[in-house]
Amino acid sequence: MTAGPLVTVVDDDESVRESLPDLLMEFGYSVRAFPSAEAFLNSDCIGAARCLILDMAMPGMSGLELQQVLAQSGRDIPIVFITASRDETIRALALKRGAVDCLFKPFSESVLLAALNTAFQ
Amino acid sequence: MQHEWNRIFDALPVPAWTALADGCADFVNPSWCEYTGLGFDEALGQGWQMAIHPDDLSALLANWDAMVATGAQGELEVRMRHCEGNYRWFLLRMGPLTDASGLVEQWCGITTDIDERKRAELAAPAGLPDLRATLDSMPVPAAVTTRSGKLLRINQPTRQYFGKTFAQLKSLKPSDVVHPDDLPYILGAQSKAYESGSTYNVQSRHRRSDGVYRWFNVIGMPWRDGHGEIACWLHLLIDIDDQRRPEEALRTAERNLHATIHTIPALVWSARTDGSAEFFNQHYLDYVGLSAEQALGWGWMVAVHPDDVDNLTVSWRLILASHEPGEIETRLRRCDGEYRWFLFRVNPLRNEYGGIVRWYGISIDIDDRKRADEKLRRSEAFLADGQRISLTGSFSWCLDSDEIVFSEELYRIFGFAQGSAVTLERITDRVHPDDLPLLTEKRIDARTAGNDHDYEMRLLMPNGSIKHVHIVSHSTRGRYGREYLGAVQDVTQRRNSEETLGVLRAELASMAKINSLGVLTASIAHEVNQPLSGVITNASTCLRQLAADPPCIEGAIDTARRTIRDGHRAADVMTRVRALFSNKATVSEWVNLNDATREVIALSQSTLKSSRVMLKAELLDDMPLVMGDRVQLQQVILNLLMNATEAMREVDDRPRQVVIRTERDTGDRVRLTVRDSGVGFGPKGVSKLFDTFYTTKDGGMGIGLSISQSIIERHRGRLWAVPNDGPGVSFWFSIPRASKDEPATQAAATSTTRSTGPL
Repeated sequence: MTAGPLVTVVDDDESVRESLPDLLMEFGYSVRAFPSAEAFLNSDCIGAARCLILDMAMPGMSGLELQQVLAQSGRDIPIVFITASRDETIRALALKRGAVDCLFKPFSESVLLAALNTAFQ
Repeated sequence: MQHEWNRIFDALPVPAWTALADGCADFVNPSWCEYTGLGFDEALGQGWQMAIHPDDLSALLANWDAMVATGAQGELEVRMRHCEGNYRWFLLRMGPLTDASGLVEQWCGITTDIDERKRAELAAPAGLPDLRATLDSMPVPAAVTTRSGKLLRINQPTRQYFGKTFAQLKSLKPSDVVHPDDLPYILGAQSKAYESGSTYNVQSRHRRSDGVYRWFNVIGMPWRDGHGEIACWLHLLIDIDDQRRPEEALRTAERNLHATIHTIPALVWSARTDGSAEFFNQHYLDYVGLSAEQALGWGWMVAVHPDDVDNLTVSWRLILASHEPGEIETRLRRCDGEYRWFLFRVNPLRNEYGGIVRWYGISIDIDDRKRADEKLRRSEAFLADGQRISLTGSFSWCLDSDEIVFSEELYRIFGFAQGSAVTLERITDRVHPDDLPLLTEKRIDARTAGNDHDYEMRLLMPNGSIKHVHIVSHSTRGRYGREYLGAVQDVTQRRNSEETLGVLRAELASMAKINSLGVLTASIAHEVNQPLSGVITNASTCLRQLAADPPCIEGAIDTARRTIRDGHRAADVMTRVRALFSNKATVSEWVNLNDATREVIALSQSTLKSSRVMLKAELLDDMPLVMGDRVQLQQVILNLLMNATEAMREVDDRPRQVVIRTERDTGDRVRLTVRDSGVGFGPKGVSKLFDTFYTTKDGGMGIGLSISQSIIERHRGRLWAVPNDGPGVSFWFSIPRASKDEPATQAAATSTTRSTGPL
């Protein structure tokens, strides 16, 4: 199971950090979860991550800001945003900035899989 | 002057004539005609020469030519033929007759019969002339003096005029009989004549016996003896007073006029018929600071204000063309450079045929009047504008005559034609029927008590619309008895907008409710979506784990538990939302502000988070309960929290921190403060903060605060805001704590504050 590509989850919501990695592992990915953007940036797996599942609204650095930081530092990690606020404007902005997708919570397994497939194309 | 000479010559008792330079006679006196027996007409031209002895004529003509050539007087002894045919010797004196200015008008010859002397001379060579007979025969005052002017003899007219005997006159000084003003002239002329031996001719005033001075033409001529030496002087006084008086009066008048023109404090001028200036009085020249040379002609135009030159030129030409008096207003530059307004008033001077000879003008300084006019016009314009803008008209009502005067604006307000007569009846017709009793009451009061009035009534306009007018008037005593002066303001718009505003306010209040509901809904959706997301993800995982080969039962159980836990979390959210929106009417219950605050914080988490606001709750442990409507109070707390969040939206240079604090307040009250570090508001902001439409937020409606305030007031409390020492603002409300005998139970309060944990 640990042989799959590394997917990182950044979300301040504990229930997401608890549930999403298990599902992703069921999909066959390696998973690391972080409670904040800062924690992710300080980790040793930036270079290794092949996909980033990123919450929009977080205390401290927001998801969109992390996206910008990564883009500026030349890290071309595919990003799938997830958010509990159904805000189309934010979604459009994220996509415009190069996100693979932006999923509104709660999202179904198939939607998540589709996004991941796009990310790994 | 000629007629004057003619009078003199007419009066002379000796033959005399006047002639032109070529020797042609143009006048002979009666004595001449009488002596020669020739008619006046016969003597004219060369005719007079017939009376001269042929032997003497050539000498006479030669002398005459010499006299004309040199202008000097001359004399010659000639024989003149008497009407009876015999010749007598005459001394002929010839000389120029000059006018007052010294110009030669013509020439004259005056003869003196010297036949006796001549015959005596021819018989006996020397002897003095006997003047007595000559003198006494003269009808005008005459006197003979010595060569130095000493009086020798006077005639009867002289005695009569002066009322003196010869002896008396002789003893008088010249100043006793000659007007003091004329004395120098006559004495000067005489002494010059005595010296040169030529005749003198002056005009001077001499005092009559009754003390009256009369003007005389005094002619003095020397009387020579046979050797040509001056033997004595003959002085004739010809009364010219009647001619002289009007001249004198005219001269005096001219002098006075001159003085007047130059001293009157107005600018006086005259112009030729072509409009060019011919004369300026001194005041004019002084005023504009120009010399007469500079100002004459068209030079004066330099002092006219450049903006007025065109108008002045055109107006002046129009007046000149009209041949009628006219007026022009123009600005003239004073010598110090200041321009002042002048009224140029001009009148034509006409000759006897009505033709215009010249124009006389006067320029009057009307600057002060002009400015006053201007000021008045401006203030009238201001008043009219002011009335129009403020929809205020004014009126006066004279109680005795019932004469009513409306201002322009008041005509408009009443919808009356401008300037039409305003009567009480017309006003009554216009007033709304329901307000007629009010109007009648005011009119009765005006006629009896005469109080000042301040009331509103409605006008029913012809098109059926209604106008609200506000009338303020006071009684005063005017020139025509007691009258009311007042102002009427059209307040229709204000009335209408007040009504509209009421409706608008209600709409906005509900909009605000919807608005905060929207914020809340988004927040609730967020809080519910989080656990739901967990539920779905866990369930998906659970299915996959069970479907695996071999199935991961342990993992599936864990995942299923987490699913249940997240399901509960979603349910909890819904419970709290139900509590918050339980559609109860305003209720009074025990409320723990700390619990209420925690619930609001829980519901606001997502908004706070996405706005990156750090919230710190400093809640007092032993917080007294308050009596009130829990949901309403939570709406206030939510509103304050959202405002604080909004106020920090732009803040990037410092932490976006909100502190919610609960504490005891003085006087058995509790206080809740929401402190932000946002943009704050200016010093004037506080007083305006709670105005319905005031907001520091770009997108906000600001209405939340006024609703919050009304809620707090219903809780007998107060909502206020103060700027922080540092950045931002603190909003707080303070409400009374519940007293022990308030009719509610502790249990009711606690039952609704069960959940205090974070979502």
